[in-house]
Amino acid sequence: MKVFFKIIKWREKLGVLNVLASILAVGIGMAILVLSLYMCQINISLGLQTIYAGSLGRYNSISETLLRATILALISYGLIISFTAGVWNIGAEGQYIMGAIASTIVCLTLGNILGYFLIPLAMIISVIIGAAWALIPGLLLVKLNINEVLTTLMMNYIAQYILSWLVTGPLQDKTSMFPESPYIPKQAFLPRIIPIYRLNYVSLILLILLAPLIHIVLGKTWFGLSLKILGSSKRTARYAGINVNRTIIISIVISGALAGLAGALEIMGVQYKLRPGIVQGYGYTGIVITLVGNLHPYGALLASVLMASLINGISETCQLFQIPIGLAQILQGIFLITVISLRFLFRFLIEKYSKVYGE
Amino acid sequence: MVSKMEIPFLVYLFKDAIWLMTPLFFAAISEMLVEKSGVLNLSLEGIMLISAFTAFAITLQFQNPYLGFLIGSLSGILINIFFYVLFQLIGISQTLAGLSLTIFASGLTFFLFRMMIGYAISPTPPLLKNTIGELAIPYLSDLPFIGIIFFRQNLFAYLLIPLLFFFYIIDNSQIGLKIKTIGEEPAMADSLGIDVYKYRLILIIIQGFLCGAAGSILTTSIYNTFLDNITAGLGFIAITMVILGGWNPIKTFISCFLFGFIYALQFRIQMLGFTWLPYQFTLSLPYVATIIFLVLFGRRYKPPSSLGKTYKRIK
Repeated sequence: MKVFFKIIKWREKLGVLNVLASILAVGIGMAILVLSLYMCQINISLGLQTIYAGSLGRYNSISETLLRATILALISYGLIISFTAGVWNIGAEGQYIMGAIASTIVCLTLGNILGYFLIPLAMIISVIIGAAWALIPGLLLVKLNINEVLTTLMMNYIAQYILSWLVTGPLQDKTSMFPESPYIPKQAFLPRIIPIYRLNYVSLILLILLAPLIHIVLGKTWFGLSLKILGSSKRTARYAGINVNRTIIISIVISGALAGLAGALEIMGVQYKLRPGIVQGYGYTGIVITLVGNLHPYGALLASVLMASLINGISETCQLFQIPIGLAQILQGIFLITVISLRFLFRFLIEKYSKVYGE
Repeated sequence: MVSKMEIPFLVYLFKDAIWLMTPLFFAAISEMLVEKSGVLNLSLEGIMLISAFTAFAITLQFQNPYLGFLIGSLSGILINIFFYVLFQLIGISQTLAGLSLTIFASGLTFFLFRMMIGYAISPTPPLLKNTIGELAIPYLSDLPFIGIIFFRQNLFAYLLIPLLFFFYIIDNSQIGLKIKTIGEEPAMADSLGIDVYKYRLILIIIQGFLCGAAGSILTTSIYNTFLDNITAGLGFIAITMVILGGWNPIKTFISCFLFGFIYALQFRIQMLGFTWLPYQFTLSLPYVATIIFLVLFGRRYKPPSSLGKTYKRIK
C-alpha cells in the first residue's frame, strides 16, 4: 500500500519518473550489449574493457569521444527546441550535410583571402545554410499544412545526393582516387587544445556552454514557454496569444541552424575535407539522444556523451574481435523503444493508481 | 521473341513503371484504409525494411523465394502489431511510435545483415539465385506492345488490379462507411456500437501483411539482394501517395503509377547514357518529385478528422 501512496505523490514529479525511465532504458540497453557480446562469444570483461578503452580510456579516445559528442549534442539541442514545440523535424541529417557542404565551400574558395575571419565566417555561413534547409519544410508546414515528417525526410535524401554529386564532380580532389574534396586550408582547422589530439576549443566550449544556454531559453524565457504551450496544444497556444506560425518557423529554423553548425564542426574539426563518410546517421542518432535525454539539454548532453562513447567503443571492439559492426545502431534503437515505452508505462500506471486510491 | 533493340523505349518504360509501382501501391493502399480509420502509421518504412530483410534471409537460407515472401509478409504483421501496442496500449503518440519503430528497424536490419554476411568476409552482399520473376501469360503476351507492357509482367504486378478492386469494394461498402466514421468521430462511432479498437487492430494486421509484402517484393523480386536502408524512403513516399490520392483508392493507384513511372525513368535514363547528367540528379528525382507534388496537390483533400489521434474511451 505504501508504495502506491508513494506513486501518487510521484504524480507531481513526473519529471523524476521520466529521468528514471531514461536510466532504466540505458540499463536495459547495456544488458543487451553484454548479452550480444556473450552471443558473439567474446570474453565479457575483455569486451567491456575494450569498449571503455575505445571510448574514455585513453587521451586520444577521450578527445575523439568528446568531438563526436559535440556534434551529436548540437544536433539534439536543436531537436529539443523543435520537438518541444511539437514540430517533428527528422531532417537534422540533411541540415547537417548542408552545413558541412557550406563550410567546405567557404573554406576552399575563400581560404587564402580571409585569414583569421575564415573560421567564424565559415561557421556563420553553414549555420545560415542549415537554417535555410530547415526553413523550407517549416514554410511548407505553416503555409500549406504539409506534414513536416515527409518533407524533412525527403530533403535528407536530396542533401545526400547533393553531397554525393559534389564529391564526385565539382569539388572532387583531382589527385585523389576516392570521392572526396581536397583538404581545407590549414588556417581553417579549428585550434586544437593539445596539438596531437583532434579535440578543439570550439567544440569543447560549445559542448559545455550551449546546454545551460538552451536550458535558460527553455525554462526562463517567454519564447521557451510559448514553445512548451505550443507543444502541448496548438489551440491553447492560439488562445494564449502566441503567434503559432512564427513560433513553429523559429523552432525548426533554430534546429536547422544548430545542425548546420554541427556539420561545420565535422568538417573543420574532424575530417578536414568533404567526403561521403561524414554521413553517419547523426540526424537519427540525434532523435534518439533527444528522447533518451528527456527533451532536456543536460539530459541530451549526458546522452550524447554516452552515445558517442558507445559508438567509438563498440567500433573499436568490433574491429578488434572481428564481429559485425552495427551493435551501436541496434542499441540506439533499443534505447529509443524502451525509453518511450517505459515513460508512458509509468504515466499509465500513475494515472491508474491515482484514480484507484484517490488524490 | 523480339530483341530489345527493336522495341520502343516507351514500351519498356511503361512496363517498368507498372512493375516498380507494385511495392509502392501495396504499401499505399493499406495505409489509405488505416489512415481512414484515423491511425497515422509512420512505421511503414521500418516494416518494409524488416520484412525485406526477413524475406532475403529466408530466401537465402531455403532457396525458396515464395517461402521468403510469405515469412517476410508475416513479419510485417508482427511489427505492425507492435506498433499498435505502442500507441494504443502504452499511449505513445502515433508519430513518435512510428518514427521510433523506423529508427529501431534500421538499426536492427543493419546489425542482423552484418551478422549474417559476416564482418571479415567481403562486404558485397550475396545475390539471390532464386527470385520471383516474370510470368508471361500464354497467347496474350504475344500481342505487340500491350503484351509486353501488361502480360509479361512480374507475378506481383498482376495482383495490382485485384487489390485495387478489393479495396475499392471495401471503401464503398458498409464496412468502409464504418471505418470512415471511426476516422472522423471515434467517440460517436463507439457510441453507435462500432468497436473502434477491433476495427483498427484488424486494419493494422491487414496493413502489416501488405506492407510486409511490399518490403519482401523489394528483395525477392526487384533488387534480388539486401542493402542497408534498401527501402530508401519508399515507406514515406507511400504515405505521400495517400495524401496525393486524397484517400481515394483509384486516385491513390494513379499517383502510385506516376511514381512508378518516375522510378522507371530513373532506371532507364541511366541506361540511355546521358553522361552529361550526373546520376545523383536522376536518383534524387523521386524525392524532389514528392516535395513538388505535395506542394502542388497536397492540400486539395481534407484528411480524416481524427488522423493521428489515439482514441481512448472515457470511463
